[in-house]
Amino acid sequence: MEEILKRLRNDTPGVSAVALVSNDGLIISSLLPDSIEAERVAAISAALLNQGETSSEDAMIGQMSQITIRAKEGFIVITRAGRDTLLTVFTTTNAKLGLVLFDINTALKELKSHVN
Amino acid sequence: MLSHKTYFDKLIKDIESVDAKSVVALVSEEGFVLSSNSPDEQADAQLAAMASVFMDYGKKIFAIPGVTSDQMNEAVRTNVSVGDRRYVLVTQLAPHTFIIVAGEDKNRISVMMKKTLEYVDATAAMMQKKEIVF
Repeated sequence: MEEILKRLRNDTPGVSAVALVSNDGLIISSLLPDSIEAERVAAISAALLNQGETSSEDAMIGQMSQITIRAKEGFIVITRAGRDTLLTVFTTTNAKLGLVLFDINTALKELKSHVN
Repeated sequence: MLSHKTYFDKLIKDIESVDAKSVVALVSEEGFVLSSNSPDEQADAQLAAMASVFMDYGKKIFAIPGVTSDQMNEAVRTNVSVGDRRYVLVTQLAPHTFIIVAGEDKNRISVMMKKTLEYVDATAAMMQKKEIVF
């Protein structure tokens, strides 16, 4: 699992941190720089999942599958990796979002057998 | 395993060598630019959005009943649109991924098409050997 996360972080320009987090906010596996605390990533992921699920339910558009946040200094992309698991990716501003999403999808395919 | 970034960069450089003035982009079927040689983000985003339109149009062409049922079931691989000044070539590289080439030198269309189709076969072979994942 760590190998897949490592590939996502190292091979996709602009990806600064990746973490596999449980729905209830526990880190399963992560590759984070020193400036980012694992607990914080887990808490952000769980909180956004909660918010995303409520919003998609309210909007009647089915189960939430991905949340993208664009901020001044980068993106946060949270993707459902399995029934109880989320893949959280942090990027810098120079990341090409299209390639990041594409590589996340590839990583998810590879992670599928591990998380299910 | 080869990263998408490395592979796309190599592919763009190679296709660009046919016509240095051409815009070459790799786009996903959702309409995101994965990599391109264009410094103009707006221009390559427009090309990305065109991918689905071109492929839908191509599918319609192949939906016209052919002489045999085989022809009707043919999957679209590439689609070229030629205007007064420019041409746009869209080739499906792999599942969910398209190569888009926009150029002005119409004499090079067939070379461009050949080149992109060679990449389709090369990518399929690499996927089989698990050298790249799509």
